[in-house]
Amino acid sequence: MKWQVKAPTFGDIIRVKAGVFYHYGIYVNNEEIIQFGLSPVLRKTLQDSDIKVCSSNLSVFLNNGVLEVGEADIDDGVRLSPEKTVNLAKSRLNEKGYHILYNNCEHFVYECYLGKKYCSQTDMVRQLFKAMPIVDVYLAKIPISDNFSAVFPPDRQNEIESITSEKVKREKYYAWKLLEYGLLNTFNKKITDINFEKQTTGKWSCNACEFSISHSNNVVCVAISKSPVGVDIEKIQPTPIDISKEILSKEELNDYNALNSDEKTSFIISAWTKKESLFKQKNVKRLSRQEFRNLTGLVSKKTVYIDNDIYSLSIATDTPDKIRIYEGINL
Amino acid sequence: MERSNILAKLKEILTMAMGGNAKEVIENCNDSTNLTTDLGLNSVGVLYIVIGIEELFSISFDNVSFGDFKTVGDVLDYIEQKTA
Repeated sequence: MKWQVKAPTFGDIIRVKAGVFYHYGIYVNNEEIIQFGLSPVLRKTLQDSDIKVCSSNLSVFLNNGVLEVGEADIDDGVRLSPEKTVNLAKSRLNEKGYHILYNNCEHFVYECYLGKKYCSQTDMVRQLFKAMPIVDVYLAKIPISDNFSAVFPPDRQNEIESITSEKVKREKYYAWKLLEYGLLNTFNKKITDINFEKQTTGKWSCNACEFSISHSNNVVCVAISKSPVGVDIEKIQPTPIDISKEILSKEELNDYNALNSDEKTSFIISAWTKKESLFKQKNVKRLSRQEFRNLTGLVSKKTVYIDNDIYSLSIATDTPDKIRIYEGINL
Repeated sequence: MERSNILAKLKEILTMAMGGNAKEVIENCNDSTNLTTDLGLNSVGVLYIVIGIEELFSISFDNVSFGDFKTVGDVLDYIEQKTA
């Protein structure tokens, strides 16, 4: 629709700015503008049931605002004749059934003018929310007693069942259960309604979102996002062998060497989770040692206390300011 | 979905809906916070809230009027019921 500031004629679709949105009407003459409810700025109620198709003069419609007249674009289709538009609008006078999302003043005028409902404003707000970044991170302790139920999809169930190490099996199982919880909490989606597939990188992916899984000691962690995300959690404890040269860049190694023994432990675990989270976010099959050492990117680093243990948690995401952490989930 | 998690998301939606206004009320809001008298919600804010709820909770607002909700608690009840 193309909008211009000009004098309206019989059967035109017109609008006026009302706050940050527009109020719409069908122009009959200066004494008769047919609209679904008066301009929102004039309404005394938020009750949809109080709103009905009504008529006002142009002055009330405008409420000191600037009048714009719409003209159908080629993409909009062919407009109905002015007579048909006005007849349709008049036939609906006093009609109720207003709904801010599905039957508002813009839907009404489009229906009278083009014969089809449309609302650009709800679409615009919806796009704002769709574009809102989401990075939800869930943390849970692996339960002491097992109560295994099947996981979805069956391929993942088979994969977990084939693991011979009981410890690893439990970690994988409860991490997947935490993913199930997270998908429901973040997107209100049941895991059984989602399609999963295993990628060539060995990582599982789904059609609902991006996700990443990690576990350490008796803790599992899942990150869920609309954009690529990587998560890694590790208990802060001395490593059995010195891995500093394997994972630290030259600059990091210089910093590391200047630390005392306790500081070194925290530093190396933190660096490890940072790089692991970046590696997972990149979703590549493997990296050379040098590539791993020099991995960089946006990573949010947290220290997490669970029972008497301290963990380093790293979340690689393009929107670190949007991270929400949910701790203490009961599996 | 747990009520505390719903409230955390609802606060994000309210922040967008209020366009940066009433920050302190949103931060401290609870079940009894009134949408119009405490938050100063208008019809524009309502549009943001209903779409935000639909998008962030994957639920539909098709057979309910937002005007039926008086307090934050009423909205939480509705989302809780729809996501149960």
